[in-house]
Amino acid sequence: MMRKLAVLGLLAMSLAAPGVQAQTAAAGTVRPAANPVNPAAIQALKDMGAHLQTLKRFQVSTELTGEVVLASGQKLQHTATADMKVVRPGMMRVAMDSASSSRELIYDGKTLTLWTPARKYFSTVKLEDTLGGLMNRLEEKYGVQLPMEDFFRWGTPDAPFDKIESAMNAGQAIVDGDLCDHYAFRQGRIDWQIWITTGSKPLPRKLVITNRADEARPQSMQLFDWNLKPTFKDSVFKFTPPKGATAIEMLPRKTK
Amino acid sequence: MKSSSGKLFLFPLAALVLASLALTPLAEAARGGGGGGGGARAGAAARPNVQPPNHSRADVGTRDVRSSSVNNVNVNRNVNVDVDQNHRNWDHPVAAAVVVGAVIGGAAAAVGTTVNTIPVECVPVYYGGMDYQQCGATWYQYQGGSTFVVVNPPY
Repeated sequence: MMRKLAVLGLLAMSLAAPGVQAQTAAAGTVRPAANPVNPAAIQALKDMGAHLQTLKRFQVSTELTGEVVLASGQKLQHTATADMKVVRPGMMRVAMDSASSSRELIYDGKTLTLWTPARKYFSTVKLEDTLGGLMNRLEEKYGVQLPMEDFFRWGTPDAPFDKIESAMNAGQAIVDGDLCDHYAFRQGRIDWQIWITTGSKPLPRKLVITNRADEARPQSMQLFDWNLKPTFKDSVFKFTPPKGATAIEMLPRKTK
Repeated sequence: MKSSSGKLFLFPLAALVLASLALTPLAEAARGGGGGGGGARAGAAARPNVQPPNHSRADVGTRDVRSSSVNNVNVNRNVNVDVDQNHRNWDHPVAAAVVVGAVIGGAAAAVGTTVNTIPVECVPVYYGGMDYQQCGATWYQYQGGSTFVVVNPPY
């Protein structure tokens, strides 16, 4: 508020008396505008992205805490977990558990199955793509979003970092026993922070996203747990409907 | 004397509690519900004997959501893609954002209404990665146990 008034005052003065503009500007400029984007923070994202793209066989799980804002402005918090088994370029099994549903998505590179164990519903569609491509097509065609999609987009042209308006190194922290570098970014209505393991094999361990579009600033926080030497077999990427399961239709996404 | 009769009273109670705990998974299996029915579950899931959450007693106001932490819990989709409201989050905190009490296109069921049975003509479908029961203009989402809630049509 004070700042707005000050700016308005400055504006008025400069409009009224062009002659004093230089003097006023000099008095008003406290410090030179530093580059709000620390290039080292952007480089850290690029290094992490490049490292993520080199992982061929891994398992990663997440615990998410998110918030919704009610019409009254009151916030409710919720939790969800997900576990992802991955073999690049084209096999994946994802289990998603939240208070409202438990589902699995199983993909063997050709066939994608969505499976709801509690209801014994499943749906199968043919889709041949890489995992990143699969995620794009799932979203475009079916409006389906998967957990940890960023791990398949960072380090690819799908995730440009050139629109980030502010990037900061926020020091270091320990996340679940691992020493991490902490970075903070701002782009559009989203603020986000990431904790990346320190060293030559950077992995994301924690992610916080703040939505500034709502004055209640709802926030999500995710912790990630990595296993780069997983013990699963490739058979987990095949789905055989259990007895009593019902095939249902997967409706394509409609545009309003 | 008093305390011993109290103890005697407690024993059957404890036995009952234990018995009901032991029965729970069976009851779940019998009605085709339950935590991990069929298929292998991943490590992140709830323990096998934990019942799935039931939302039928949640106050209807808790569905009156105006926004969420993020339209999308993935950074790149938030900052580089114009995510529309048709989008469904994987973490699904509630049965979609709803306008409480809204009546959909002349259908009898109001959004937020919880029911124990749904019409026989309902068809289960996936939309946006979630399973719904579509019954003409009325859409239901499973709420755990045998309950369903009327939700806004997802499209």
